Amino acid sequence: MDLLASQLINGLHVGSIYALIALGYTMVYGIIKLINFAHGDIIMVGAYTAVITLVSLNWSPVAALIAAIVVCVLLGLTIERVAYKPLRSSPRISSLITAIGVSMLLQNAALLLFGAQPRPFPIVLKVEPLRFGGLQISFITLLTLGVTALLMISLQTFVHNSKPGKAMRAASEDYATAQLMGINVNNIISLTFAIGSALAAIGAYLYVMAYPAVSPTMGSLPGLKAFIAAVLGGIGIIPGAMLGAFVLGIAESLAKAYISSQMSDAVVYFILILVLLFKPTGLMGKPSGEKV
Amino acid sequence: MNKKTKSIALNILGILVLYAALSTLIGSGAINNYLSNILITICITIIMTASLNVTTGLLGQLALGHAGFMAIGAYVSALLTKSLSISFGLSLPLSLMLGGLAAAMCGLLIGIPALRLEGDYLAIITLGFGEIIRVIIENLSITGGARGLTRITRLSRAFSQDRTLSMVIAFTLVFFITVLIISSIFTLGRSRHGRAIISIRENAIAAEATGIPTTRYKLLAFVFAAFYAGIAGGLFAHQISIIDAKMFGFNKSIEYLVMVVLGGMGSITGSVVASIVLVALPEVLRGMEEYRLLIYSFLLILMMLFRPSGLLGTREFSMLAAWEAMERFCSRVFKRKDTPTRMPFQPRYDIWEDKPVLETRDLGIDFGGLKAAEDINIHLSDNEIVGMIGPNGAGKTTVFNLLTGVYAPTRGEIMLLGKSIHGRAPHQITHDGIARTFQNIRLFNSMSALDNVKVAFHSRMRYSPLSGILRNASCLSEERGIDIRARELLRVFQMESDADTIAGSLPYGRQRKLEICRALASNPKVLLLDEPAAGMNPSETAELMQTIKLIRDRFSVAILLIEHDMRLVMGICERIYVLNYGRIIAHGSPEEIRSNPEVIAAYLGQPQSVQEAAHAES
Amino acid sequence: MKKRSLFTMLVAAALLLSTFVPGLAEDVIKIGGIGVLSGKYGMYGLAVKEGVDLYVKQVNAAGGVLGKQVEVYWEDTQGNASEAINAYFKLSEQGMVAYIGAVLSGESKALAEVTAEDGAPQISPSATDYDVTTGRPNVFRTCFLDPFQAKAMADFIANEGLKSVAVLYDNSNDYSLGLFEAFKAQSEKNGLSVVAAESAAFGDTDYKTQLTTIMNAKPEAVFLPYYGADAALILAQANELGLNAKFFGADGIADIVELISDKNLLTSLIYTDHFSEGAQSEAAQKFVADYQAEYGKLPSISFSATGYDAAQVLLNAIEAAGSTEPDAIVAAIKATNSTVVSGNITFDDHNDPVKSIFFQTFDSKGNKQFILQVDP
Repeated sequence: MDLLASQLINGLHVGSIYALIALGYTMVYGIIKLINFAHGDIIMVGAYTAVITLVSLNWSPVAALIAAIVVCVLLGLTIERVAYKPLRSSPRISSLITAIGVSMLLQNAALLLFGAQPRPFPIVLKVEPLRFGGLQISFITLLTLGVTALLMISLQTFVHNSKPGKAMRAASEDYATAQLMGINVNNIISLTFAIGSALAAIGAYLYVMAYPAVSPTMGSLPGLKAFIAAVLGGIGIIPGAMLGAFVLGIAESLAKAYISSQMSDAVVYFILILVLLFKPTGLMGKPSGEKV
Repeated sequence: MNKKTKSIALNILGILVLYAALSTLIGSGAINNYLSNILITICITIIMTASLNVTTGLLGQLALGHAGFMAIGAYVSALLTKSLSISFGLSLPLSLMLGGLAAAMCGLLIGIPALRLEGDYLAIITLGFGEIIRVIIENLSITGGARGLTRITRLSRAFSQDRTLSMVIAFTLVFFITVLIISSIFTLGRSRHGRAIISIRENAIAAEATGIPTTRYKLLAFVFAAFYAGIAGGLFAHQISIIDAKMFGFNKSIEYLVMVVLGGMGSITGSVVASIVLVALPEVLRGMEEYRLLIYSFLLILMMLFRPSGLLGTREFSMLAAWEAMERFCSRVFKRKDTPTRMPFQPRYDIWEDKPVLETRDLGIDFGGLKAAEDINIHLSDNEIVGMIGPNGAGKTTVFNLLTGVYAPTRGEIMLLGKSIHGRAPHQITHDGIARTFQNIRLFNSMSALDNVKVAFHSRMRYSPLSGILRNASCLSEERGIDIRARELLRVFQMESDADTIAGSLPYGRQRKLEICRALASNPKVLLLDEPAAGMNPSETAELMQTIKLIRDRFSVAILLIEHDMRLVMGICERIYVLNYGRIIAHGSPEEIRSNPEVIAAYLGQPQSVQEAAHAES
Repeated sequence: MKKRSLFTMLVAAALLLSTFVPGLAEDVIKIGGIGVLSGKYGMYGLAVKEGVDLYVKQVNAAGGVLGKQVEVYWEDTQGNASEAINAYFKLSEQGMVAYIGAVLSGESKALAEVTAEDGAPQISPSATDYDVTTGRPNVFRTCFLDPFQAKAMADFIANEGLKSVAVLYDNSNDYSLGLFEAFKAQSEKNGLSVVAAESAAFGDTDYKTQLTTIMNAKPEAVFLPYYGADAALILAQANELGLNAKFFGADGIADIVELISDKNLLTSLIYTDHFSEGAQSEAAQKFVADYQAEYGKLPSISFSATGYDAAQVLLNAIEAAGSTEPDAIVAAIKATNSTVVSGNITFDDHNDPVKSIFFQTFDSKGNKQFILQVDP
């Protein structure tokens, strides 16, 4: 029983990191219908920023976190302006290919700059695992869960109650109409990218605290999983991304523990395919179709 | 010599000259072992890129797991040649074929989700499948697990003790397999099946409405591409003689995608050129290895930003074009005169007298709680022009979507020629005899006007994909027949001069006309026109009225049209239905409608109904 | 546009042909060096290269081999099997006499596949997988094998008095899998109970689920047949979960020092290596000194020693054969019986060296600590 509980907690830990990343995918997709393939690599950039400021510049952990957020937000905004904005009216396949290109570009630039060897992430805080009866939970897990929950609640509040949040939802409901209603859609898209990138930076920081290795390709796998989580929950829907991420994290953890750790990726994709077959718009998605 | 024969002759000649030159160079040792292997790699890459171009370029669906199919072909064929105790000369072709078929089976498996998913989701599914294939291969014992397969018979050593001779034979084999595959992609692309696939890329909804079974063609494209990737995989396994699952990962798929994009999505020759350049270049610039992927990604982004269509776009490089360019250069221009065969356009329709051609019984549909259409009872007779009017949001297009199977009705029934069309897919309903145009024109924009029309003839042609590839007698005679009929149809609408113009570049009025033309090509009993005069000036509208009358007279078809232009509606319609709030509020001759108080109220509005209408709109 | 694409084709063809340069008969002995020199595992290949280059430099300074200078042509495979084969095809057109490489087991197998066809002499300084030399009389290596080091480790653990052991391995990596299988067999033979065997997919970063299962089985020792990068993540997560056990690794784990921030965790890790700076033999001491003089650092990855050895075995064999004929060189390598830096080398029927193994650990600053040398 304790084992199952520990595995569930492991799943929640991974799931909450997926959730932070998945939000970036889902918000961007909600508005401009683009799978931002480079989002995973933003994590990588965030992690490198943190490790460089911490180790080479000797900044404090908090300063390093802020630096990572700032760099990621700037990068997210630049990518959007330079690579995606000019393609907003082109076929979807063009922007998708561009996104793949941006992702490759970031990875290979990092490869040239930092080399293929992973860099260890320093220990920023050292707390003994906490015990609850027979259950042992690491502090990083608790921290990750707490931070994720906090950020999710703030994001929900922001999106539902603030003016830019409402504009964001309007834009994702109907891009053209939102524009006609006097919403500056360009600013909203930038804001979306900025929030998504900031969340990715925080996700990156929590990620490397748990998995202390920073490498040029480190972002692709969590990025992909987070994207799958977003699709699973219903892409474009914020609570959907959270749900999908937790489902995915737990499914992955249980598959590793009780089916086959080797096959866990296959299990993940299999779940995705099944969900999409029976609910093509994801767990929380509403039926949609192109208007004729 | 006519143009076609000349083109074929030139292409064959070019290929043979290329082959003769390369094989002689290999035989004489001028192209050494290392370079010969690069040539073989180029051929394999060409097959991979061109086959990926079928799904990504022609069908327009981004596939991110193409290397997975290659892996299946590689493993199946390697396992077969390793285990079969027959001579390599026999086991190789057999194993390549079976490897291709195994990959095609997987293509079918991936295609099934493709029936339900579109674009981005499909891309992720293909990515997932590619990864699943890799994980499974790594965990099976028959595939050697993580260790992979080793000691696979190497092509370049298998055929003869003499190394050079063996290499020449290996090269010959790979070269001609590549030539066969590329030509088959070409010929398939030009057949009715190719047109169907391309029409899905251009506009899936219009393709379905034109009678293309879109899901089946998506599957066909996937299976076809997977089959060739499987063959390429088999060749690859026997070229390199050692394979493991990691060779066929996501990055490999992306490399092929880069080549497709650079060459031009939809251009097979573009893929060939891109494969040659991108395989040869890194070998030349070996020191630049670290920068290779960086440069690729840069190229990819720049290409999308500034030349999204790739090097060649959807165009093809042709020997004929090169030849003709040379001819012009030498100013020896042949004067050719085309004398196309004329064949009068003769619709073959049964006359469906007395009874209505189309009839709906208490038709209705709900969207959530909203009754978008309710108690719709309409009927159309042969050779009748009927109008459907009503304020915006009254549910007119919804009725069209119900009639064409885009929406499934919540209540009621639709009878076409006395038979219910309940549960039929849109493309089947098109076959049954209902064709439509769209409020916002949906043409296959990058296809020629003629091809737009030919797509609609699809269901009246019979030849199989295989005859399409082989271009055998049945394919050629049907294509010839369709060509004549399509041109004839264009001529009826005075559009024969636009036959070879790209549909997207036609002026607006002509695009409308072409859409009608395309709808008629599917041989409908009922033609639905959704706001045909939208965006037209008065003289264009006047011309359109003549066209509609002409259609009724020449094609013996019942026409139902939605229109806001009252002059047009009142001018040509024999009867008119008026819709408001999803219900028919009036029905009668133009005079009756004009004087109907309810209609006047709906259009001019009473204070509260205006507010309600505004409410319903928002 | 059409003209331009024709032009592109012509340029490509021209570039392709330009790589063909007729080889000129030169008065040097050419050795092909093939292996991973960049990417994630690049440091292993670079270590090999440093060892080989050092020996070749020394030999050339002393007059070369058969009176000729020796030149090594390096080709980077990036760790790809197909690139290893390509590199061989490229080098074989340039008159190589023999090949040193490849570095990783997978690419070495691919290379062996092609050198075997031509009977070209090949020595890998670092391919530890059993199959590399199987059925290939022309392929040798100067490192010990995975089954050998796994067995030695299982014996070592048993000797330490530990009773239960768990294994975390990578099922999709042939190196990790090979070690796991041999280790498991020998442990069972030694009466060690293998209480958990968990596998983690290639490229994974999250090992917590597997570690939780392992922790639940309460092992005294955990065997980690991984490369340093993965092992660094595993050690950190095991620590985070509170898994207290001794950890054991194989030669691939040696680069973990650079990859882990919490160097304290390394004190609970013991691994097997091909060479130790703490080795006492005269050849070893000289190598460490020479290496330090040449590169200004200690030979931290033991493949620089086995690379040095590979070059020595090969060049000695060429000298002994008195010719550059492949068959003569192969026969001479086979007859090798000499003392090299990583111990004494003779080749058995399977062309594997019979040689010493070194057990090492780390102090809390991450410096390597020599524990034990076991001779054959």
